[in-house]
Amino acid sequence: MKSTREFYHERAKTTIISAYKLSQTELDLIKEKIPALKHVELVNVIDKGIIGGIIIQHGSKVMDFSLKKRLEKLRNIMYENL
Amino acid sequence: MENLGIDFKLMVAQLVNFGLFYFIFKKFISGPMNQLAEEEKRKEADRESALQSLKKSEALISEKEAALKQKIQKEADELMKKAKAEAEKAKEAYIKEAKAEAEKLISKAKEQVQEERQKMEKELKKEAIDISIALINKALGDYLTDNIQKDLNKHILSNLSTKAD
Repeated sequence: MKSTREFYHERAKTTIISAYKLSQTELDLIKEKIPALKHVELVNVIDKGIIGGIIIQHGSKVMDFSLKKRLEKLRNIMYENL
Repeated sequence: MENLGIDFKLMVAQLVNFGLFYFIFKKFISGPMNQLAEEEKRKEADRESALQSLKKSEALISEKEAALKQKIQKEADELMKKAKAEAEKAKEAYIKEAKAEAEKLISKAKEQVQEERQKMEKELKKEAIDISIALINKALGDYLTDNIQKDLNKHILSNLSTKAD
């Protein structure tokens, strides 16, 4: 299994980062929801640090739906309201 | 006359002698002596006059000295009064300036204390936020079982189409 760093540098493939290993059904659902990924190989990388949710990295584009990101946003909002 | 024992010739000679003596005495002794006495008298008068004049001058000088002393004293008093007034004014100005400076320092110190307090409060709040986020992180880590994770992902993927657009 390749490390997270290696996967981040492979721009040809699309990386799906999740807190647990995604099933093929879930990967297919991602392909179904995002037509641009239909003919692209999806590589699942497990990173417990994201807490929950998924991060889709397609080339230079990153879609972050992780709980870690949400918590960071929440923290930033709270910082701004100090 | 001869019977009286008077010799006329002798008497004439004596008269001539007396006249001669009188002339010489008057010419060479009495005259210069009188002149000398007059001269001395005149000098004495001059000295007396000079003395009087000196005394008058001395009195005048004393008066002038007293007046001058009075004037100097008056001027010195005025100068002293003026100097005291100026010193008082300068003292008041220094006190005022010192008070203003002290107030400025106190105000600055208060501002600094306030700033420090606000900064500390902000830091404390930030720390509280960080701790809260860390606790949520930890709690979520403990709470999110595989099934909940799957449900969460299902929920995310169901909303994905609109977000991906």
